[in-house]
Amino acid sequence: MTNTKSNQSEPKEISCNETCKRQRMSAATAEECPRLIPNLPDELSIQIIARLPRVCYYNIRLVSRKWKATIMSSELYKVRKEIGTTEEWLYLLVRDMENKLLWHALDPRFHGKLHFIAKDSKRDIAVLQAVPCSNLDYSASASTSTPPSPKFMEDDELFIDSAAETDTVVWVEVANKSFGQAELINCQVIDI
Amino acid sequence: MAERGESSEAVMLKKTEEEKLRKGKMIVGDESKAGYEEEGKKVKLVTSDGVTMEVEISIVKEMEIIQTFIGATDTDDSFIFPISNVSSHILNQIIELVKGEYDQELAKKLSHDELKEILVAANYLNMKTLFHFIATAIANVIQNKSVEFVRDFFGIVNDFTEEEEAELRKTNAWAFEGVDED
Repeated sequence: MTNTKSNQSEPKEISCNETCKRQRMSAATAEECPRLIPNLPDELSIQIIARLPRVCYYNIRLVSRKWKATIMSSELYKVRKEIGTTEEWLYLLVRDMENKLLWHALDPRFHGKLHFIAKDSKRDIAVLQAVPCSNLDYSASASTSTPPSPKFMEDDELFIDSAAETDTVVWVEVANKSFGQAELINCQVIDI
Repeated sequence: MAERGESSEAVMLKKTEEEKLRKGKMIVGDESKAGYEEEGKKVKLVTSDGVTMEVEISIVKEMEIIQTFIGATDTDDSFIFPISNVSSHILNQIIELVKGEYDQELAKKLSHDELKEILVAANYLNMKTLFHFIATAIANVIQNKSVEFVRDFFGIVNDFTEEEEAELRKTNAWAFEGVDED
């Protein structure tokens, strides 16, 4: 209707783009602004992506340019907040021997809420979690599968007075990473 | 005094008897009239392929888009609601999922196209539980899968150049460098 010769002489960017897109749809789907998932509105595709554990984003950002842009967009994180799929990620800022600053991220998916970050004399950085002892099965398995946490706490500079809590809480080491000679600059837990 | 007492007692008795009767009716269910509002009632839905399907009210109740119409109009058996975006095949799948109380095992039997179509239908019909269930089911399919699997599954064309993809793959898995956390 509007796509006559006389109309085309006047530059109408939006409508032209629209028709170009439609015409090219069948021939080259991957051209300008393809959808995240073919035949699915992007707002629904984002609902799917927002339900993935965040650790998957590292991999799936490689699917296409649109996926990469979406994974880095604030829109996705808004949806994650809305539907309650945000995760507590631990970020460690480390300065290595060449004075290079590096962020390290820890996936909290299997660890639940993180409570405590410790650095021992060997410069290993550990993440601890407080586990209530009321559940006997859990505390038993925790003490057998991981080294008893009080031992870890002994030579810890950052040790916080939790002796009074030992009856009710066991500190379990959920992650450990050696950074060699690198220096821990900052650590942050981000709900994302 | 005594008379009054008797009469009020009699009224009380009458009331409780009436209540019992009413309750009995509700439980047993008068086939023709009672339970008209709830169980047994069906709503006719016309699907995109022109099939008229009688769907139980318990399932239709999850379709918020139809609920608003049912609430607004005085419904009777002749009430027919067109759902022009949903095919009879997909509506049957939806009914099965709702009746199966959203069992993830049921979702595993669905094809990629069915999953997508149910998601679109759930969004259109405003079925919140179904929408969350299907979106989660699709997320579960692609979770921990390779990039190639995700592309194949959805039919997505890789628009990265080889160099770009190689560069992206090199990045340390532990570091989300360059990602703006705001």
